[in-house]
Amino acid sequence: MSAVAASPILEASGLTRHFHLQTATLGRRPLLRAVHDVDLALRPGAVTALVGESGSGKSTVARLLALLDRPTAGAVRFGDVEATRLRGRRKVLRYRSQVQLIFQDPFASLNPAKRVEHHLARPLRIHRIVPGKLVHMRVIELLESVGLVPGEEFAAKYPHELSGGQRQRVAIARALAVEPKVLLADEPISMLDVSIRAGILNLMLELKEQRDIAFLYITHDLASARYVADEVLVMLSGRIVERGPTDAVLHEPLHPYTQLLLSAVPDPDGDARDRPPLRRPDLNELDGDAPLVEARPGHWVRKENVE
Amino acid sequence: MIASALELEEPVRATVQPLIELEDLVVEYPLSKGVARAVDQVSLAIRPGEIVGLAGESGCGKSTVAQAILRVLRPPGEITGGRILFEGKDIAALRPAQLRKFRWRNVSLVFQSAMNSLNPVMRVGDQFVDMMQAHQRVRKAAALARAGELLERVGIERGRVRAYPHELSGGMRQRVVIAMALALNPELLVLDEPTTALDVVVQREILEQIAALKQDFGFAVLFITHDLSLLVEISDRIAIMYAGRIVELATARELFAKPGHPYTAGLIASFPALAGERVRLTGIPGSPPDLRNPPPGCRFHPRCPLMRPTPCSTDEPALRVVGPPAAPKATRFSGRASAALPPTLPASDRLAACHYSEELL
Repeated sequence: MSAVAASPILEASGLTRHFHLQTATLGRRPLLRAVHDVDLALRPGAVTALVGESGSGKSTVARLLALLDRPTAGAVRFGDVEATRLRGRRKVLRYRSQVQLIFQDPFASLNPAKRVEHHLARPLRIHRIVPGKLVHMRVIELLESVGLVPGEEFAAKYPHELSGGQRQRVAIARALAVEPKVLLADEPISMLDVSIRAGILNLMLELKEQRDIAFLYITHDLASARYVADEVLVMLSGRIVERGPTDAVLHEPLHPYTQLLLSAVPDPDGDARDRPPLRRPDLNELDGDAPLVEARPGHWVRKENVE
Repeated sequence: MIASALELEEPVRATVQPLIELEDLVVEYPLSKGVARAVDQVSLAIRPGEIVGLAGESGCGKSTVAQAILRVLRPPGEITGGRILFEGKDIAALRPAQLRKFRWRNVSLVFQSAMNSLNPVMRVGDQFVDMMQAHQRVRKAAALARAGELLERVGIERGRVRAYPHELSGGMRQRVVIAMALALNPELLVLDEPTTALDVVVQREILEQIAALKQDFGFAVLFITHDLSLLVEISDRIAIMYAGRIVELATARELFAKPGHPYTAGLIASFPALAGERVRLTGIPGSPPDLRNPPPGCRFHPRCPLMRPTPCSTDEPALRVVGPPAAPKATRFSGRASAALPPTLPASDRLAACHYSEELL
């Protein structure tokens, strides 16, 4: 819990990204509020889970934080730098070396024509992390730090020779190569077999503890969020509808959407027959401008017009 | 083993014949560096109206089982041993015309990316009409009405028969394919990772709809997934597959309460729980073997926490009866009335292929 008290390294306030859709109906281009007025703070040595379904805007948040996209409004602060004001390739590159993104699909994020070594050596050279002759040694260290042992052997392999879990470890090692302070992991386990997901989740826990990394863990799976996260933010239609310490949000979910997500998780220990049927909250019933209120200390929920 | 287990239940067997029976099924893929035996002497019987889960890691052969049942194995895959009996008849003997009837009318297959198999330039309803007219004489209006009715049953407005696939979300497209699979009232629905690409809530809705439809239509289900947690609430029995073989077969409840194979125990220890104490997940170390050259003895022994050099690395354990037979679990969905189902399924033996099952049970 001490981790939660550390001051934030990456902070977003009022983060907003609207898209004008290309399909015009009657001359009006509809506005898509992909991300609307999102506040979040990532702290060293803590994992914040951003939970929601496809289309809730959670990946857009990650893209905005990584400066892969620019917000319509709001700001991202990294330490004392206002990231959203950074212009110019060099400044953006330097920022990205501190804030790294891990993608969902480890099959698509590695170049099939290049050995593992290439993927890790490149960021080391581009960002001049170590002198040229030490690059190989660092590659081996990185591989072994994510559990790919012996590193020499894995460095010489091509992506197709690796399993999905091993590829995702390579992707994580690549992100670690530049010694980032923040890792944004966008559904890092959802493409993997259940049997190897545990290994990746445990790796995330080790990294946050040993390297004091601030993690944003994006997922639709509340059980895995409970396993790794200190804080949970629930996102629906571009807005945060509930936020708080993991246990508070998962044990006493206040927003109907959080309750829906929870009821959808298969529970081998519970008796399924006691489960109430799924009830999806009607988006039209939800008041888009309802304020987030602190229902309990640290536990915020958007006050919607629902019973 | 299954065959002998059924003989023990001779009195019941007379009333509940297996709908489909795999007997020592072997499927092989001849590859450049040797033959990969993706399915190795798999025996499994599914009874009418029963939901059987088949779980295992990627590459364990579970999808190959599905493809063998439908006879849609991708070349060079080939059935090289054993039989598949559907209502007692060997499907290997089906001629092409009979095979076309067998697919969709007797057995339908929905696979993971099925939602992408819809024709993008054809209205959903017309695709129903196409499929139905290929199998039986039916007028377009009647087929469309049937399509609308089925869409409604999977939670999609009837009017969406006029929609094009791109106008539907991924979850809706997957539901369309499931509805289509049911159009000709098949006795068996084979679902190969039907919800894997979908969000949790959509996944749950689809599982509930499948279970409800099963209650009304009375079809049996073979549900294939790598995510064991999905199976517990929906399945009657679960088979666990590892490196081409079934290593455990038990009712869903027994399997979760007390796995009889260390591999099953590993799968269960792989996913975090929502309630209770937070325990460190162990997962399963290592990765599945190369099927061209599986390890000697028990195929799981290199990854197994219970491993002893002998007999584990020398003798292959047989799939044998462990523990007493159990009555099938009452699934959450069995509360709904169903005329199509026998009131209870016969008790089933619990099988496991491990030298040390008793230590786990």
